Amino acid sequence: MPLSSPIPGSFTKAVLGAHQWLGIVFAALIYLVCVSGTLSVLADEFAQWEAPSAPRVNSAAAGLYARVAAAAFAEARAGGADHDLFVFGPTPELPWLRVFALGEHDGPGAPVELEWLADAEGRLQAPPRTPWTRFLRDHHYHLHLPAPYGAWAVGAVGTLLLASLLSGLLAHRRIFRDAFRLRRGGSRRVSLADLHNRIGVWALPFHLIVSLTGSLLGLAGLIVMLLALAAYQGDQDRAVAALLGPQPGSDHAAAPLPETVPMLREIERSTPGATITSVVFQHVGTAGQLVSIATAEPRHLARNERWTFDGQGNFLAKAGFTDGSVGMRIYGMLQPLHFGTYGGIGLKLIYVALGLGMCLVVATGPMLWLARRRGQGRPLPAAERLWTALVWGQLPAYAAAALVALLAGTADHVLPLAVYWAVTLGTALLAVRGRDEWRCGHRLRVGGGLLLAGLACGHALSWPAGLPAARVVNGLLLVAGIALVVGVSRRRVRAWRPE
Amino acid sequence: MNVPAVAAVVAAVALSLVGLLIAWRAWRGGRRRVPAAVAVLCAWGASTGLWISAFGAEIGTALAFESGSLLALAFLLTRSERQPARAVRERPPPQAMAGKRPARRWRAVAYCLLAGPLAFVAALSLGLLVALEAPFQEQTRLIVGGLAVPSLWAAMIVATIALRRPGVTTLAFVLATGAAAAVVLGR
Repeated sequence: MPLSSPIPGSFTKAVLGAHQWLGIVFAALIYLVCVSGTLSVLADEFAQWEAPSAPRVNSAAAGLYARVAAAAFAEARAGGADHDLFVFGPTPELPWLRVFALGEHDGPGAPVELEWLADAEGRLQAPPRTPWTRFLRDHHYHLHLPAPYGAWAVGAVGTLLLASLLSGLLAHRRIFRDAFRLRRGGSRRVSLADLHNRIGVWALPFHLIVSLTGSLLGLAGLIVMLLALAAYQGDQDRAVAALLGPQPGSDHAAAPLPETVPMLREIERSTPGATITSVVFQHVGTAGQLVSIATAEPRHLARNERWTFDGQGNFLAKAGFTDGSVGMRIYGMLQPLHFGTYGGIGLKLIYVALGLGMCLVVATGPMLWLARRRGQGRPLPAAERLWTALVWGQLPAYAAAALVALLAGTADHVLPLAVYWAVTLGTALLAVRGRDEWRCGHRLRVGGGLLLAGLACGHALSWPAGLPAARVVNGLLLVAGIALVVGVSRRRVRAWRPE
Repeated sequence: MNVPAVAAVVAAVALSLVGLLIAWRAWRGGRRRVPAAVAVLCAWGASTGLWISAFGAEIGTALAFESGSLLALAFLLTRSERQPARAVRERPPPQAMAGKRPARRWRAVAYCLLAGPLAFVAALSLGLLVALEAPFQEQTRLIVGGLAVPSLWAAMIVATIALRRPGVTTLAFVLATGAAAAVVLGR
């Protein structure tokens, strides 16, 4: 571990310039995606927290899947949504048996979509009301932009984060010399730099994995299809088949719903310990229909190993996410690695902690630049206030959106979306018109903390016999709220205040 | 989790901590860095091996990195140095430099175009070369080619902004795109 860096100073300076430029120009977008991503790790728990009275199904046997599929197919046919049918099985994190039906996409409008939640007996019930969780997911997956541009935009943000990480790593000349140095309380610039660099370096494997997989997931639809089309001279069917396996036939003659019990039994026999995560019927009820069954196998990251059967129940192909080619195995790992869905609630909490670290790295980058400018006698007070409002304004924005969604009792995610943006933009506007960055940050932290604690208490009082997931969420909200309110000491904040 | 898996996890966490402690002592002492580095790598390697033995190679490796990062950050928090509070002293604003060129907006726009769509097309072209010509199985070629695109794009963004030589980077991007086009047309 040599102390003097072998990297030339001019190179470091150039890369540091690129790191600063990227951080300053795109920090706000990257920060919004990082915050929504950190919260999205707990999306399953938030969904149960929002809909605590939804029917729970701890495990589903082969017969239950068949009963639910038959009931949903009848309902879907009556509702004109009988093109594809999706049955998502319960998991330890989300013990719900969810069913979706999709109509044919043949006109200019969106296809008909129906949704249910099945109970342990296979009876279909109304879908759970989870507007805030849906808003959160949509915010992270596509920033509420129309498909597919929203996903591409989020993928591009992931690439920018990856570029920031690479440039930050290359620009860090004292990576070993400062490996354990974390100074607090002295010069604000030094404290921020230590926090930014230490979290950035020690959590680098996580940050790289999450930014790379996020970028890939967002851009995969665009990139892989473009490459496949170029490789197959524009033959889209061959390209799709090469990556996604057998596709449903074009024979639309009516046919009975396939018997899924023998298929599920065959999978259980061939891969002991595997759990069914979904059963999907493509072109359901037609002669060309296919059944795709996804499984999660022990000791594998992929949660969606796909087994495809034809309408007569004959096995056609296995996608190979667990035992196929290297490429397919890597492809199968992307989503679990990004969202931390392979290790239960313990791993999710690790992801949340490391995700908060990533948010801190992104938040402290522009703070550091602004503090440096102030030290050089070139302060940007409006930008300081604006950035503080954006960073700390996320807490009250998400908390207020959740509170309004719970109080309104609506299933529509537009209301939490409107509240979120109203609070985010409102705090930014107030900050620009305000005078003091420190007071702004202080008030937002206290306000956000009080809202979080109030949300937890209100929820616990409304549903006293809460589910385990709801108790985890309430506990986290309460701890975060109290920590924010108690931790913000005016005296400590004033110590850093410019004179 | 069964008892052997729990034991493996406990031992893996303990080994991660041992590695961290060795690294911290070497960093603080400032001497005997090479033996310490070897010891740290051995401890972390053994810890990763234990994670793999408990959860398999895919999940075990990911858990080793994630738990290692979290432990390191928690350890750092316990080792933070509290310093006396210092007020920020503001300097007077620097004098405007005579003859300094004003910032040019078109330059920023050119860099954005270069690092954005042009770099993306170049990265996609290189990904296409991998997808078509790499010595892997068909699916692997397609997927690895696709997976390489975001990393290549990120590297090109950094190179474009760091080099500040738009002519050189444009030429490199055009060459990459041209090579891919030649391969596709030649098939």
